[in-house]
Amino acid sequence: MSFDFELTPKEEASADFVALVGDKLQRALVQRKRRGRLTQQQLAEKLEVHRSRVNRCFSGSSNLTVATLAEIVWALDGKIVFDIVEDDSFSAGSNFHAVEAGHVNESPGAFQAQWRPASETRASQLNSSFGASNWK
Amino acid sequence: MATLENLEKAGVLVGFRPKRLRRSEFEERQLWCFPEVVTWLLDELPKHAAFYEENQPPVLQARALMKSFVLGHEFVEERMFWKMRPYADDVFELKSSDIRLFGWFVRPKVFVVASCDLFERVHAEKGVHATHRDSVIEKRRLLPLDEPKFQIGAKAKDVF
Repeated sequence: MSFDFELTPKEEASADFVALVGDKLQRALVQRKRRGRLTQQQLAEKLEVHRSRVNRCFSGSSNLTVATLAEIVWALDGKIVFDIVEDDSFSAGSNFHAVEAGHVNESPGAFQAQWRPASETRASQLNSSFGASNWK
Repeated sequence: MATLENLEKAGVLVGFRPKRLRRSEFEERQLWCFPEVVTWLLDELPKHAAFYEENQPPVLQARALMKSFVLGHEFVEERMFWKMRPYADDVFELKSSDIRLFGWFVRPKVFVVASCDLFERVHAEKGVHATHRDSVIEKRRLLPLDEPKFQIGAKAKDVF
């Protein structure tokens, strides 16, 4: 008998995305620090906030506003590559548990509107496009 | 003595298996919990708000963290961002901002959660952390799991 949390697809999408953004921010900061270009204190000064606030933003759980996210990435001398594509990756047979649980058509994050298919976009996956690969 | 799968059938352990995975997502690690941990995660945790109000609710943190672990995501290797942290006596801590899950690795990529708590309580009350570690050690000792029950002397990079 296995278990999963009793969350709605909407809540799961929210949880996964906030975690993804947190992870990307952490990786970007680590990369910057390793190159000796930026300390957290310097980052806090650049953003004109207390260092504790910066720490919380990088906790990986922070539900940042879009504006705050943009400011942090700016302070990291980075840029955000962002796109939204149709999510068609939850179709029947995609995984055993979805079929087993009868959740095949409950697609978190899937857009019913006329979004461009993933294959037609440059940034086909948010996972890879929202990354820290721009830190040169 | 028994395997993890047999212990699950007997109701001694419960596997965490995220539903609704994408076609590109696969379970690359295993995460097993004691029933009391599952009860806490499903019944108690949703009642709690995040310590910092800008953070996601702890239950969403827990789900994202556990899913990320099971899907085999690489965790950031920086001390201040550790999501999986080794302690003495081969006890490890899986953590998010608000939750702490304590357990051990049976073998690489196979983690058993034996104890859990909120960050707030672990940090505010002296000795809570040690209590969780002791609880893990005792539950590990009593669990009728085939030997070797855990990885001895493993560092984080060895097991996940």
